[in-house]
Amino acid sequence: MTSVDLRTYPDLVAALLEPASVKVLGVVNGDGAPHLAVKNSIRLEHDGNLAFDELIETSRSNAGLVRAMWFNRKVAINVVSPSGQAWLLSGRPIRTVISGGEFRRRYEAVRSQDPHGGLAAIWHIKIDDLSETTLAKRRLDEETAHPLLIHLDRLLAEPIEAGAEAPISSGLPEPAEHRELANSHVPKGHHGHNGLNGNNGD
Amino acid sequence: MTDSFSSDCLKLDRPVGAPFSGTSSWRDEEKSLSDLKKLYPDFPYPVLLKIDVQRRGVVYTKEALAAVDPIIHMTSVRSDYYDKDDLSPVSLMLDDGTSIFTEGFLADTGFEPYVVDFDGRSAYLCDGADPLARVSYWEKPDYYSKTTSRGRHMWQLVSARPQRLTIHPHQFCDFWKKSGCGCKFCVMASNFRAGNKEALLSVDEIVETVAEALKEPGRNQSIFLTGGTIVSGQNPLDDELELYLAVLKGLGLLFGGRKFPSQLISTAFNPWQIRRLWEETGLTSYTADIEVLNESLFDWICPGKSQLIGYQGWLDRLEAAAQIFGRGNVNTGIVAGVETARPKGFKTSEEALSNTLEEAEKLFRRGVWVVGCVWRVMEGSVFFRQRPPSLEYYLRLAQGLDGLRRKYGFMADLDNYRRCGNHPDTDLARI
Repeated sequence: MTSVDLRTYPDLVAALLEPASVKVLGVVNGDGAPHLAVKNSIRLEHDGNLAFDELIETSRSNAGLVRAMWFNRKVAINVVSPSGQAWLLSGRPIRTVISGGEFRRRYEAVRSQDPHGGLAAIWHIKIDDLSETTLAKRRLDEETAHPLLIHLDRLLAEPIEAGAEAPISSGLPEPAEHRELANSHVPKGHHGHNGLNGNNGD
Repeated sequence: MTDSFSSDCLKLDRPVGAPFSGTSSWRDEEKSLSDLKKLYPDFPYPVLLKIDVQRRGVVYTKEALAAVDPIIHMTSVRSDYYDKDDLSPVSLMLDDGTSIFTEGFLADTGFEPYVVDFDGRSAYLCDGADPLARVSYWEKPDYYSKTTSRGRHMWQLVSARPQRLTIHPHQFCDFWKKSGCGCKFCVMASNFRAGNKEALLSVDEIVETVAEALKEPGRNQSIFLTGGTIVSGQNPLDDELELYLAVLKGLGLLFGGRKFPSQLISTAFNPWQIRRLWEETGLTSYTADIEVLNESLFDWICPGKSQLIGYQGWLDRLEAAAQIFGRGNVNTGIVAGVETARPKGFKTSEEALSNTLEEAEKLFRRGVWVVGCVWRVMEGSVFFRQRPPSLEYYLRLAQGLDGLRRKYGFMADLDNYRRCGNHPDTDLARI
């Protein structure tokens, strides 16, 4: 397993530090079904791994993490910044903390934010794979690597009105680098959607 | 208190079973940890490792001991079966949160103990030179550094597990006052006689200590009481009951008289006594350990319990307790493996497993669930020359008990991995 040091991805670090980012944990239930849950306490640790606070002892996430640790399975984490920049990470839980100084510090932090809340466990997750899944980037990646995977109407030189005579064309798409792609004009940092809509290109 | 337990158990407190030769042939006689990991891929490796460490014990390298920080780590404990105040860790925790109890002095069973080593950054459990898993030392709670208003170390009154407070108000057992009546796996008497401690703790100091312990946020999920049998009283066991009532009522004041997550393991009280516990205190769950699930073995291994209450009487009282405390709030513990003790125990693993699980299922049907802990053959017990069964035996027993618990729909909450942490079968309840 090759681990990824998340500290070397500044945009992702910024997204992890941003409270308005959305962070989703994916685990596998005992019956093989996937289970997703928003875990906005997912944070970057000094060692380059992720950690988060599991608030519910009996949650499917908690069981899924135990299962992953016991049987060497992966978990997935989706991070989406407020601007829509998104990443899909996968890794393995490497430690859970249920007592002691670290637990107490997080327990107090959780309780200070929610007087009705408690803390079941802190999970530490080592990330071994990462990809940016921002929609615009994924669109460009796909159009570059898979130029045939496009609807033809998007390749027309001129829009054809319904009922109008079609212009003569070979019908084959041009290489991606020769095409004008709407996405290539997306300015850096603008991705055309709000990350909260969940429209990242995973 | 008067001692009304007058029957004589006749048998002597002498060692049972021939000594082991001290050879390493046990490795040839059973499947190894790595064999079992491959054979049972659905059984969690950390739980398997925990079982084997408990069975075989641990020793520490000097580097591992040097890594103990007595300011942070728990190195002292006083209970009815173990006293320790040195600079070695009380117990260990694996990275997945599984606790491994290493308390007590294991007898020489011929097993090589696991080794805890330290590589400069982390401690590791090793079998010989092979590192198998990272471990951490239990951290101690704040109150461990404090003393009561009478000047006693609080850790001597209330010991800690990672998420539980443990109280042993009576640190001796009346069964050991009669020759041959103590449970044969038990070290309560030898521990008591070796130490210079009082049999009865002060209720006021216990309550004072718990009040101090509860100041620490997030440290405790449960309060646990147990101790040696006190036979005396107007009715047998009334004095034991009164002791627990006094402690629980004192603790109840801390919670405004409400029920609070708590467990009592006592001698099996009669229904009237159990009702008083339920009605007069904040206690939420009740346990009376049957120790071994076979009547004739119970009579042999637990002669005091057998003579005072009897096997069937014990089971009847557990069932009554479940009716009073509610389904799921009463369980019973077994010292898993003593059913194979020589010379009267089961001769084969198959026989022992099938008997134990069949008998356990009868209890589940009666509303009482069963938990097992690993039989750690201890110095000072009558059984100190015995050897626990194979690792595979424990694996299958844990699977069996977990399967019964799921089949009959009992939650493991009262005895789960973070409250007690001493039951491989309830470790399995995490998923």
